[in-house]
Amino acid sequence: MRRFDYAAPTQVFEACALLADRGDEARVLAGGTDLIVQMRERDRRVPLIVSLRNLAELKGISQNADGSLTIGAMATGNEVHHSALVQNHAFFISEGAELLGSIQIRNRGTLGGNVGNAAPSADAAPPLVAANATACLVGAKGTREVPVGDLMTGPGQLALEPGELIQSFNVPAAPAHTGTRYVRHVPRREMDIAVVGIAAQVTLEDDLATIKDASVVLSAVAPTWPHATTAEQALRGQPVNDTTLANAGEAAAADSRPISDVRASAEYRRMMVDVYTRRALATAIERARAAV
Amino acid sequence: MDYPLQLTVNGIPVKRIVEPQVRLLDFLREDLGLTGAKEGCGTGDCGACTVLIDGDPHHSCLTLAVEAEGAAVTTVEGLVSDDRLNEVQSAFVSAGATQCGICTPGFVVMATAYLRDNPNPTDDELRMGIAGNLCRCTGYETIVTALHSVIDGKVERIEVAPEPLELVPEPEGE
Repeated sequence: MRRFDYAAPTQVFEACALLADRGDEARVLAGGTDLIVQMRERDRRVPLIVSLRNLAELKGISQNADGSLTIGAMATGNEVHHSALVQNHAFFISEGAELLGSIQIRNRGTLGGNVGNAAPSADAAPPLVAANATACLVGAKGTREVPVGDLMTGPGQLALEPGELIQSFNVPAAPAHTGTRYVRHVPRREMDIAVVGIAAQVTLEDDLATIKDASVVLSAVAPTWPHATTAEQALRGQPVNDTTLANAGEAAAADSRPISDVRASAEYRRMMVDVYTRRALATAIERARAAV
Repeated sequence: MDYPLQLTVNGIPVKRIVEPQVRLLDFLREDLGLTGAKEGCGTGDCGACTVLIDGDPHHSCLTLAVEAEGAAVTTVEGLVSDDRLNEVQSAFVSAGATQCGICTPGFVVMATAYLRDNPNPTDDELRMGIAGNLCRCTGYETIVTALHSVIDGKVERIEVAPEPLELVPEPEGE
């Protein structure tokens, strides 16, 4: 690896100031599971690494008075996966985090890193989008909240101002009778990258037979993590039955914009969006019915 | 600029000056002489470089040495205690769960941590637990057999010749 300077500030404002001063010369280091590999394999010159490891504000998972959940950007994959708070609040965020590489990767890789790396095939980010989570961004001008769904503008691209970093994620409390599911299609069970990922959040009416609201977010089949908006419209107000799920699956496939690459063809991906949307919705509905 | 680094490795306090781009793997192998952790892929896929950082398994190839400041690092060498191999090490020996041996230290460190946290996994859970470690020789069967013998409590720790754990001393003039 090429030489670089390294700073591990203990105050968020110091980290932001370093990033603002050095601009494109500085890179943020969270878990390093992507950055270190990129720096070695692509022989990337990075003059300054700003490590986030000493920033207390970016750590931990806690429930707020309004029922929402705050997850620090530096919460690791294993912390998020094993957190009872996360599992009770929005189970699919735990499910997505469980799919980040191996146990070793999940001990280093962070939720903020999975979002910040802005890979279309991310597994931990789509559930945040489907849960209508916001990212708390901190910079020289203070903090601002941005929906996680608006944060990624394209592969590897984030809508961050110079000197800004992701401090935490805020996940609103879901209404009663809500269930969630994140499911992905991969040729191997572990250590693989999603061919298709679907994050679904479904809220049922009190009758538990009608869909009140639904969120379907796509991974690995578009340049970002978009809502399958046509599929969501096809679900709202509809009875829970096979026809409704089939319509939603078909609509989600039409909503997707996959590419062909080494993992799968665009055509195959679109078919799998249909299949996995139906599967994700079926599990989310089952969980919504079981929820208190 | 070089950075002062303080940590403990296999229980021994270590204080060194390191360059920031040095990976924990290289620091352990080259600066301290602990060659147990291996470099397989160097990209976090194969697990051969697995060490424990504050008790949890990490890829030492994806960790900068400076990021281990203040940590307690355990390598495969540090799993020996009272002149005996630990249960996972002993089980690997008894089951012959090794061929070329490159993946073995990573497997042993990973499995030691996994079975500490999950003492009674199903076969499927166990295989998922070690899914981040790759072996190209054994087909995994002898490794899984060895780990099942640990789970079943059938392993007797193997005695080894007393060998004090020594680190390469700090270079002079630093």
